Amino acid sequence: MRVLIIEDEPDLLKSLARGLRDEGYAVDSSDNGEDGLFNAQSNDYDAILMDVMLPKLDGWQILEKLRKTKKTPVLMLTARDQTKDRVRGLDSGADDYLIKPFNLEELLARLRAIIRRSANQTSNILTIGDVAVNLASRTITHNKTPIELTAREYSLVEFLALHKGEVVTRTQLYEHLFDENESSLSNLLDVHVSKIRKKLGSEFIATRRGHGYCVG
Amino acid sequence: MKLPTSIKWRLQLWYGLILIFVLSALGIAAYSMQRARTYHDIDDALKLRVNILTEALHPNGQRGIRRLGNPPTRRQILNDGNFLPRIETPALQGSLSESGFQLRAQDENLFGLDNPGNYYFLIISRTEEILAQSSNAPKINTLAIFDTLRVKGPGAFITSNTIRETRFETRSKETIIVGRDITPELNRLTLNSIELISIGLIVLSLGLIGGWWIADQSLKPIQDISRTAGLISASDLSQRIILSNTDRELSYLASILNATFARLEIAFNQQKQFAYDAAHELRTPVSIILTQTQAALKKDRTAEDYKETIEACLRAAQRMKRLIESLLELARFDSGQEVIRKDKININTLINDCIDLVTPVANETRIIIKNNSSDVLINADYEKISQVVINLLMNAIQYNIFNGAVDISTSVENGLCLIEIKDTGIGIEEDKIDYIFERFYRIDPSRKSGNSGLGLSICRAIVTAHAGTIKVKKLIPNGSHFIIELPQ
Repeated sequence: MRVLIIEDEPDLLKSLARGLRDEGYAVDSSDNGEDGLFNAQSNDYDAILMDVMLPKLDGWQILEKLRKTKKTPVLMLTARDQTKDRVRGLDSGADDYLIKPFNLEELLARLRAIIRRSANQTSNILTIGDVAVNLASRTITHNKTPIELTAREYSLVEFLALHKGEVVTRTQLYEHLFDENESSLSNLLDVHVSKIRKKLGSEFIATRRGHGYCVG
Repeated sequence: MKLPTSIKWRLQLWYGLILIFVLSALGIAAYSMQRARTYHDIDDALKLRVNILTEALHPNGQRGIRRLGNPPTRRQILNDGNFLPRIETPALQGSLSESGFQLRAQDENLFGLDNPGNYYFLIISRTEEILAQSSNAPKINTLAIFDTLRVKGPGAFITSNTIRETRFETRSKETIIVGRDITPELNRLTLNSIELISIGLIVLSLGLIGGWWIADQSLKPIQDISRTAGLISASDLSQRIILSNTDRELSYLASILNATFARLEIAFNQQKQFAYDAAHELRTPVSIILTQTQAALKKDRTAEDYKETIEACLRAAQRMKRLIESLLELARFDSGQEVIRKDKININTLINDCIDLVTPVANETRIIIKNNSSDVLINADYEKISQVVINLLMNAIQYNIFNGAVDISTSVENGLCLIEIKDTGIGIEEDKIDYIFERFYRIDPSRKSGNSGLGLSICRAIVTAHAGTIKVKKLIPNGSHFIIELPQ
């Protein structure tokens, strides 16, 4: 999962990025509205975490411009706690709204929820054959046996599971699993896929030659 | 006596008192006039009769006869209705004719029992013998008559009980007494006075009812205003009393109340906004501490990681500390608890000290501070004024361009010491100039780090506490121009 954080307060931006990376998210960051909007428009993020008060462009202006082209789920962070601000935020296209100060756990849960909703999933547990992916605890079981996966491997499975039945291209996978600072070595993806096949069975991920991968 | 506290009752009381006074005065005047006219008529009739008797007594002519006053003509009296001539009964007793006193026939009906006014007469000689009298004349003690005659003098009118009399002394020293019972007139006067009192009472009660209505009508807008005002103060300060249909005096009151409400609303909103802003300002540093610590505690970190987290928390905590200090300082100024220790200070020394402090910061962006200040002695708090100058200098540096300049100068004008600080920075838009001294006002609302948004508010509070003023102008094309005026 790849997430964009737009936040002008450096210490907050840094801690949010770290918290999200620990959870296996690929994180891009922008410290002003203009930069943030550019990033949001030029990449397919799984979610955007955005402050309302931003230099250059504020959160509402970003939403207004972004919604013309993208449906990326947006979680707004704000110090404004008045109802009218929340209503305005949600009405202008935000998917959720979190008031500062917040707990990191709550932020992560809300982030998972908006990502899940945008993939049209209602449950936290996705099942593909005898594999179950628990989105909340970020664990995977195979025939009810817990399987140890690295964070990156888990993210790959989670992304494929959320797009169950669809063919996911390598480009998509690169875009959603790695952030802008990571060198996307072309065989890194193949390494992860083969490791997952070893752990969950070779038929779990099907390869559609020339297109990409597919589960379910 | 304690006056009633209700304006309505007090109005009614005064109104009633004035009405009673006016009505009484009118009534008394009307009654007095009526009474005077009645007596005047009676007296005229008496005078006429005295003259007739005098003429009858001395028929030979005018010699020795004084006429009493200027009585009305006989015709006037006869037309009066009271004195219609009546002929049928001779009014005089025989004794009168015997003594040689003879009334003219047409005058006989002016006296006696049957004449309408029941007039009587007595003629008394110099030797106090009765020369002649009408049949209805009262029995009198002659001595008493002369006693009263002496007291009242000749030609006087006397009333005793219901009898009105006049006495007249002729040249030949006979005394003529003419009188009558005036009971009908007295009764009429009593009736008149009862009528007057009744009319007065009716007018008074009508007046009181009208007064009550007027008081009610004129006080109704006040009640309306107080009801509206009560509602406003209880619920919603943003509402106002509607001025359109109130009278001038009341609309003045209403507009004063409205102005008070407006001021209250502003103060109330400022207070609310202040608390809200203060909480708002604390949200970001608290968020930093929360996310930093929660993220760090999720798993084991390297020492470097922990150090970074602690440093971020420290920065956030220091930011909160600065904010709290600024808030407390403003609160002390607001409540008048901040102590200003005034000394004779040289503003030039103060400015030099401040420049020394901010120079390292200015050097970072190669900003040149030009000092054009001169020695001016003023009576002020050194620490506090330094705080203002440093704050303005820091702003001038922070919002400046690379290689920019800051110009600080002093001057004296009309007993005021002027400190002017100009910069070559971005300047302040005209529409924002009015707000920059407001608490938490930021030209760029997204600027979270660094300043608390209270610096200029504190500057203004300090300068105001010195009875000075602080203002700002936009420089063309770029830059801001802050002017502090301090009394020497």
